[in-house]
Amino acid sequence: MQTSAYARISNLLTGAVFLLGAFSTFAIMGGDALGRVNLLYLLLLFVAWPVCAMLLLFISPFLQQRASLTLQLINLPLWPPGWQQKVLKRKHQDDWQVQVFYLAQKLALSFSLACSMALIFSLLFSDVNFVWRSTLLSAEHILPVLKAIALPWWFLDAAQPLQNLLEQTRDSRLIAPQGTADYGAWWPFLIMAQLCYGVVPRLLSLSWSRYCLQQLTQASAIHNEPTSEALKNPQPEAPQLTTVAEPELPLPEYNLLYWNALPTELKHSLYAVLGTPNNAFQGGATGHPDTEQQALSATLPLVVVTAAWEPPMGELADLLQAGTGYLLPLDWNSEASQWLPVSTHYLNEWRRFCKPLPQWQLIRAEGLL
Amino acid sequence: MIPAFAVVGHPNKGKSSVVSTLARDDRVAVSMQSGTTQVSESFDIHLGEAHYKLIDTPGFQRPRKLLAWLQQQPVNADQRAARIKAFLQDDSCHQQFPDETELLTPIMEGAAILYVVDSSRPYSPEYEAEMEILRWTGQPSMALINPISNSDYIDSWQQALQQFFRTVRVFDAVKADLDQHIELLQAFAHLHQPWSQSLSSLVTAVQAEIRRQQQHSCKLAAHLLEDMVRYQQRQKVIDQQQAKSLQPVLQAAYYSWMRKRESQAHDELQTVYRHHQLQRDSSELTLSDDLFDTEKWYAWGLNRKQLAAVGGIAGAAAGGVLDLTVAGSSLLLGTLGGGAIGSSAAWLGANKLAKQKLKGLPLGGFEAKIGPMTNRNFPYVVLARFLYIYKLLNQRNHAQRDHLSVDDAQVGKLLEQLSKQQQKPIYKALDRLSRQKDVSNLADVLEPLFIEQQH
Repeated sequence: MQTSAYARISNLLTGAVFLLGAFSTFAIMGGDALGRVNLLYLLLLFVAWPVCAMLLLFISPFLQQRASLTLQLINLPLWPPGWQQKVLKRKHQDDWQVQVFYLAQKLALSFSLACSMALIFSLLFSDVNFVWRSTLLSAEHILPVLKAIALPWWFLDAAQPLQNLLEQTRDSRLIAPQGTADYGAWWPFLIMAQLCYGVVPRLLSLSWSRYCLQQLTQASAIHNEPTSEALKNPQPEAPQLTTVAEPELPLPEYNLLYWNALPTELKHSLYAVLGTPNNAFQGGATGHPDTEQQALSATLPLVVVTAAWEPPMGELADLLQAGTGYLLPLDWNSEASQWLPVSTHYLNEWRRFCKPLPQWQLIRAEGLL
Repeated sequence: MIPAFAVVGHPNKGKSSVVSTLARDDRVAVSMQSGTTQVSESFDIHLGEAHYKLIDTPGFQRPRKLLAWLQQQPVNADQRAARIKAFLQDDSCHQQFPDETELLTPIMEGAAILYVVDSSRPYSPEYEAEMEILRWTGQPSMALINPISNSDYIDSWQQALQQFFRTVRVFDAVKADLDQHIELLQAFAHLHQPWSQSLSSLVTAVQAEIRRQQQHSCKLAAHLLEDMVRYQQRQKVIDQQQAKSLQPVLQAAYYSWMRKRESQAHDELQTVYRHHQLQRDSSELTLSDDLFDTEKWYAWGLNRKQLAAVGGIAGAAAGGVLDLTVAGSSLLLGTLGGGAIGSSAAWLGANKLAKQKLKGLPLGGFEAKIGPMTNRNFPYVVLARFLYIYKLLNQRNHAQRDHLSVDDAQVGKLLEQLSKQQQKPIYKALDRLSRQKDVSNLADVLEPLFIEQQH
């Protein structure tokens, strides 16, 4: 799902954001000189910030410059050399948008978890006094906001804001603190706020983005399925070729076997060059196996004439195993009754065919053209 | 059932070429030497959800003898397929007829027959034995007339083939385009009813794959443009002297990276179109293949006039935004001014290459840097070269095995074929890119240019 370089960068960023979340919570939880922690600052960090970030998440699909922002971040000069190229390469992948979304959720969750852990850590190991201060706002102003914030956990009474507690925990030079104020009682409310607005939504969005990523990976696996890795058939090795002989023509006495049907007009011109055969036989598709055997069993040398363009076949090879003589591939135009030069490609096919047949000589008849 | 097609015929009549063309993949070896295919090779073709098989078979070697063997016993028409099966089960036949055994086995396992002949040579009766054997199999079949070097004897072949096959088609294995490929599948769907549905979905899958290839090509082009325009080479050194002496080294490394990146994108494009074996013949270029020869840029990219016009359009668009923000109270001065600045910048800066910089660092030391490429014509040059290869690959048949020759092409002409509405976003996007601004949907913007290339 992720390249190792990208995963390293992502882990580094997550760690950095975790430290930032822990540091900011500890900074606020440190409080003032008297150790009092401002409740409203914590609400800014635990509620206002996560809510704004979630809103931004929902409206981001409508922001055209979203990708620009990512690019601006990538282009910042503070990244190590080579890092930008790696991220730009990752940017080309189909799941980049979802990957960015996933990373953003991971960072936000890391931040919220760090805040929560820092809060719990502070509560465990120090006696925290939560107060709030405002020149403009009173407890009556704040209570409805806090109640609205606490709506998601309405079933937890201990974590609900109370008018009484709000009035007691106000820190003001003008109002003297009431004797038995429970300054620490805000912690259940704060933990629930952090969970409801920070941790849980980001956990959900992270799960969703992870699901989307998996879907994308599956879809791309279907599309990138190899068409067929076996789409390879071996190329032939360089063939061994026999030499082409040019016997002295006309031949003294010989028999002729036509493997393919040769036009009658061309037969005459062939005889003019080769010499008239003692016997001519027709073999191949238009002949008969008995005739072929008859031609082979004769004592006179045999010339087998084939159509050069038809690739040599096993049937002819089987026949030639039993005899001896000359093989003469020829090319012609039947309609014009005209000889054609045998192309090198065709001739090489016959040279390859004739190589394992030592008792047969491949010949050509130059005088035909 | 998965449709399977066995491509059969006489040796060296283009069977492997037909397989390569129908597979749309050049990894099927095509050889001029007869008897290259000695065993049947089955190629599984997956197109999304659709799947079919192509079987490259050896050519017939002893059809006359085989037919004689089959006819040894008198059999009725309904027993002929069984007779072929008996042949395949006979061990001595395996030894005597290795090629025929190989080619008939997949057919008797259910593959349809694509019988291939060459129309550049006359029909002769020696083909009749093999056609008769194929008829005995009783499998659905189609004859393909492959004009290897010419179509001189198409008529006589058609006459003969129609005696044995219900459907006869002329199919040039090396020139057939996608439409012919689809027509072939459609014809077979009509011919063999049980496969009708799966062949119809196969046709849809082939068309979907073409679309996917086009979209993938757009993405490759977008990534290439973005990478090449944004690339920069940086090196930190101790003193200014060192930084200066490093600059030529950086420049060489920068140019080398750019050339490699472009070549890699062209290779990726070949892979998308499954032209794995194809060699690009760069020596055939009529222009220098040097990406950094700015004199040649006008031939590949936009000429000065076009460049000034595009600069004007992009500048006017930016100025228009200014007019819009002041609700037109600028009397359209933004649009006009932006246009003038854009066009003159494009005119004057047309020959400038990537900038080289040398700067002192805040914490001591120096940095030598080259890039990014801000020249406005550069993205057009890269795009033109990519489009040119795309166009060739898009039209190229997979059985064609000669080298790919790259010729002169000007992206300006391709752009002019688009409507104004399609041109403008491309001009704006490439202008933004050359100014190192983000273009989030570059692949989509380029799409009309790629689809237009098909026609």
